[in-house]
Amino acid sequence: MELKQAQWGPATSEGGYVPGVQPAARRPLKIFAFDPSLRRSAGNLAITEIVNEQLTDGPEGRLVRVVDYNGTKKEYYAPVDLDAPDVLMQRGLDPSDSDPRFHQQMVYAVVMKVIENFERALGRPFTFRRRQKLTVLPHSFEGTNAFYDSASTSLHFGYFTVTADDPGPNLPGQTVFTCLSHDIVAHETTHAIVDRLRRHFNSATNRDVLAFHEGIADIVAIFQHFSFPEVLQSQIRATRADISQPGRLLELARQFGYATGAGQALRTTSVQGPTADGRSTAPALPDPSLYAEVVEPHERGSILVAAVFDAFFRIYRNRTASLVRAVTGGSGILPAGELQSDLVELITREAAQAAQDVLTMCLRAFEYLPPVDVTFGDYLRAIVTADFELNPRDEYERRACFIDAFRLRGIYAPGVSSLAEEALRLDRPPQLDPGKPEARTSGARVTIPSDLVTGVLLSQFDFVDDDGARQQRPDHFPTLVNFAREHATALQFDSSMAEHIRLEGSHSSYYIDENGQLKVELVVQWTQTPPRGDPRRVEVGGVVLRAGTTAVFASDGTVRYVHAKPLPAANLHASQNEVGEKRKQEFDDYVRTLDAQDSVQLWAGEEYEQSRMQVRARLTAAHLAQSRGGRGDG
Amino acid sequence: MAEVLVRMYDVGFGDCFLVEFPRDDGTAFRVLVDCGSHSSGHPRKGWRISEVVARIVKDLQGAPIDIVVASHRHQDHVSGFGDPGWQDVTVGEVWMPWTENPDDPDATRIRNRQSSLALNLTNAFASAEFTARWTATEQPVALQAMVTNSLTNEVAMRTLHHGFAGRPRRRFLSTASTSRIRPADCPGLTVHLLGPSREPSVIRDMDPPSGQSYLRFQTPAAAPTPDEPRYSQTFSESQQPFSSSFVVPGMTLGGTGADRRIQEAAAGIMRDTDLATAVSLDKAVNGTSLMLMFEFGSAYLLFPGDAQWGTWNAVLTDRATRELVSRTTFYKVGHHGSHNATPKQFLEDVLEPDHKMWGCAASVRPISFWPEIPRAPLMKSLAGHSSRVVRSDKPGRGRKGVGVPKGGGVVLLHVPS
Repeated sequence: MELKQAQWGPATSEGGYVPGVQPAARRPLKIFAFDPSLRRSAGNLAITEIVNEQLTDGPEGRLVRVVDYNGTKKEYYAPVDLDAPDVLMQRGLDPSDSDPRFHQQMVYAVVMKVIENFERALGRPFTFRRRQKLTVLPHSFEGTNAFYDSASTSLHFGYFTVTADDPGPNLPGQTVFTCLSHDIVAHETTHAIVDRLRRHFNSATNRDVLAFHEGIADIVAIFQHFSFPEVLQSQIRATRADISQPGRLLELARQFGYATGAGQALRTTSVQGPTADGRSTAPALPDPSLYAEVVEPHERGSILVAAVFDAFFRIYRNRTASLVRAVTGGSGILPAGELQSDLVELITREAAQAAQDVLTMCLRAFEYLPPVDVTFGDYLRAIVTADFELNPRDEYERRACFIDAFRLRGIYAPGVSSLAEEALRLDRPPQLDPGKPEARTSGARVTIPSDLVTGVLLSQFDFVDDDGARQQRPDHFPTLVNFAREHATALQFDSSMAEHIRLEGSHSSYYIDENGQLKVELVVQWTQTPPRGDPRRVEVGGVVLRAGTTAVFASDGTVRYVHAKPLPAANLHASQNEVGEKRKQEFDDYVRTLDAQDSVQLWAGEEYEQSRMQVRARLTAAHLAQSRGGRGDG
Repeated sequence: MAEVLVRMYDVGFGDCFLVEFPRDDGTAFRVLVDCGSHSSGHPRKGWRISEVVARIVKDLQGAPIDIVVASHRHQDHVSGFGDPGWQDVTVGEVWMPWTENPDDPDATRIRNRQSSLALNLTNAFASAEFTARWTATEQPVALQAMVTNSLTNEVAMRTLHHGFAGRPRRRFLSTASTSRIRPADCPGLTVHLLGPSREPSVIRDMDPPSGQSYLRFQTPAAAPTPDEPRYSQTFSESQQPFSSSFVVPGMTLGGTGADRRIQEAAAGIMRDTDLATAVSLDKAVNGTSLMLMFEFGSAYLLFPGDAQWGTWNAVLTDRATRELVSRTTFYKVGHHGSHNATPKQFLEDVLEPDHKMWGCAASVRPISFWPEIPRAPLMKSLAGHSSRVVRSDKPGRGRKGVGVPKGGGVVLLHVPS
C-alpha cells in the first residue's frame, strides 16, 4: 500500500520550506460491520482502519475507484471527498441509508480492507491486471444481485425494494442496498482478487473449481469480521459459559453466514445443527458424504467454509485452553455469571489472533496453488506447505487442525498416500533437485539466476505515477518460459508441444520467517494448452482443460516446490498420466451432471451448447445475492 | 387381456391424453391426463382448444371420465380446463399434485410464491426497461412466453377444483402418503405414484426465488402511448434510491470504451437475472408434476408429467421404483421432448438393452425460439428403445397399433396389455 506522503509547507525566509506534517498511517472510516438491518446489534456500527493513501473524490485511490453510476436510472450521484476536513474530523461520514456518499465510503473501506488482508498474507503489493483500477459501482443496477465483472474489472452492487408482504428483517417498502452489507462487498471483492491471482479458476473443470471461488469469498467475508474487536468481544461476553466449546462461536459464524446467504448452507454442513428452538446443540460429526455428492457451487463451497471454520475452532481452543485453566485454578471450568472483563479481553485477543492466523494461512496458500483445475485437496496441500515454510514449528498445531478438519469432511488430496503432514507437503521433482543425480542428466540448468528472483521483487516497487507509464515488459519473461520448456517433463508438461507452454504469471513475495530473517521467494505459473484442432485438446461448452504447473523458487534460484496438474502425455510417468486421465474423467463427469440438471439448456438456442460451461459459471455468480436477498426463510 | 387405448390429441405445444382401460363388461375405464396448450404453440392460426374439448366430449359418447389428472398447473397442461364444454362432463375423481391442496399451508405458500412471481415477471417483461436491456429479437419473446405459461389460469383451476358434473372427489397426491392406488371400478389397474414427494430437497426445488427486484411490477404497465418516448419509465417513479439532490450532471465512468463495457456488464447481470429467475420459476412449477405409472396386465404406461431431475432422481435412486420404471412399455415423453425431462440414465442404464418399449408419445409442436424442444438427440435415442416414437404434430402414417384418423387431430395408440 502506498502511504500518503508529507507535503512541504510554505517557503521560509531562508529560502527553504516549512516541514510538512506527517500524515497518519491509517485512515479511520465508519462502516456497518454487518448491514443496516442489524443496526442495533453490538458492534454493527464499526470504525475500520485502512491505509491512508492519496485520494481524490469518489473516492479514488491507487487500486480502487468508486464511481456512483446507476445503470438503471442512467444517473450519477455526488462523489464523496474523504479528505474534506469535516469528514476527517468525524472519522468518516455517519452511517446513513439515504446518503449515497456514506455508501461510497463504506464500499471503499471494505474493499480496501479485503485487499489489505490479501497483501499482508501474500507478502507483496497487489495490483489488478494491467495495473487497472478496480471500478466499484455501489448502485449499479436495480436487482437483488452483486457481481464482479472480469472483462471490465468492475464490481457492481444492486439495490431493490422489499416487499410489503414479506419484508424479513427490513421495513416493508424499504430500499435494500447490497453495497451496505459488509459480507456481500467482501465476498465480491474476493472474487475480483481471486480472479487476478488465478484467472483460470473461473473455468469450471471439476466440481470444486467454482465452489472454491465461492468458499474463499465467504471465508474472507466471515473472517474479516473478527478484525472488528467490538463484535468479537460482545459475542464472547454473551456466550461466556461456552468459550471452551467451539460450538458457541459457531453461533457467531452462523450469524455472519446468515448475512452472506451462504448461511443456509453453512447451517447444513457445519459442525453442528440447530434444534427446534433455534439454539445450538452439541457438535455433530460432519457428514463426509456431502463432499462426495454436493454439486451446487455455493453449497459445495460451504463445505470448505465449514472445514476452515472447524480448523479455526481447534486452533482457538488450543490457544485459550491454558488461559482458561490459569484463571480457574486449573479446573478449566468457568464459574457462573458474567465473565471477568480482563478475561474477556484476553480471550478476545486470542480469538482475533487465531482468526487472523487462519485467514493469513488461507490466503497465503494461494501462492502454492496450481494455475488451473483446483480441488479442495490441492488447497489443503497448499495451506500445509505454505505454512510450513513460514512456521516450521507449528505452534498451536495449526496445520494438524486444518488436516483434521478437512479429513472429517472427506476432503483428501489426490495422489497423496497418507494424511501425514510430510505426505501432504508439496515436493520438488528429482530432476530439479540439485542434490539428486537425476538433475545432472538433462544437461540444462536446474536453477534460475538468483538475481532474477530479486529482480522480480524489486520490479514491484518500480511504481510509477499514472502519467509516467513506464510499463516495460519485464525481461525475466523469456528466461522463465525457457526454463519450463527445458524442464517440460519435470514440470509435467507435454514435451512434444513445448511451444504451447505459456507463462501465466510470476511474483516475488517476502516474509519474515520464524528466525526473524527476510525470506524471498519467486512463484511462477505456467499453463499448456493444446491448440484448436489438436486431438489432445479437451474443450466443452467454452471451457478448456489445460495442463498447469506452479513452481516456487527460493532466493538462490533453486526450485523448492512444484504443484502440477498434468494432462496425459507420452513423456510423463505412468502415475502422472493416471492423474491426467482422471482429470479428464472428472471434467467429463462434471459436465454430464450439470447437463442432466440444467434447466436453462432447454430454453436456450443451439449457441448455448457451445458456451454452456461459461454461462453456468456466470449464472452461478449471479445466483449469489439472489439466494441471499431472495429465498427468505425468515 | 385386451389392449389399452391411448388417445393423444394434437394440442400443439401441450399435453392432452385420454386413456381407456378395458373392463370385462365391455365398457372402458377412462383417464384423462392433462388438457392444455401453450399460447405460442397452437397447431394452426385461429385454432382454439375448445375444438379439442369438443372432440373429447364426442369421443366419450356420453360416458363419464373416471379420473381427470392435472399433472401440474402450467398453461400447456391445464388451459383446456377453462373451456365451458366441461360443465356437462361427468367425472369420478380429479387428481392433482399435493401442491394444489387449498388446505395445506405448505402448498398454499408454494402456490402463492409461484403465481405471484409469474405475475410479477410477466409484468416486468412487458416493461420498457426490459426491452431496453434485451436487444435481440427472439430472446425477450421467448422469456415472455416462458413466464406467461406459469400464470395462474383461474378459470381452468376453478374447473379442476369445483367444476365438472357428477361432484367428483378431489385428491391431492404426494408420495409421502400414497404409493399406489387401485381404482375400485377398474379391476386389474394399479396406478403407481412416483412423484411429487414432500422431501425438503424437492420442496426447495418447487419454491421459486422470490425475485425481489421484480416486486414493484405487481401492477401492470400502462401501454405506452405513441407520443411518449419508447423507453418512458413506467414503474421507476416508485423506485428512486436517493433524493434527486444527490444527482449530479456531467460525470463519466472514464474513457468511452470503459464506459461501454461497464454499462454493458450492468445490463448483462440484469439479463442473466431475468433468464435465471424465469427458468427457476418454470422449473419450480414443473417440479410439482404428478408422475404416474399405470400398470394394467402386462402394460406399464409411464406419464411423468413434466417432472424434472429432482423427481426423476428420486425415482431412479430408489430400488423399487427404479425396477418399476424399467418395465415401462408405453412412455409419455416428459416435457415435450426436452433434454432434462427424460434422464439419460433412464434410457441408458435403467431400461434393459433387450427391453423395447412398445411405444413413446411426444406431444409437441416446435416453437421457433425454443429450438431445443424437442431435442433431436433425445428423440433419436428414444427411437433406439421403441419402434413407435409418435409425435402429435407429425404422426406420420400409421404403424401397427398406431391409428391416425383422416383429418388428424388425434393419434390412437393401441397398447397391448
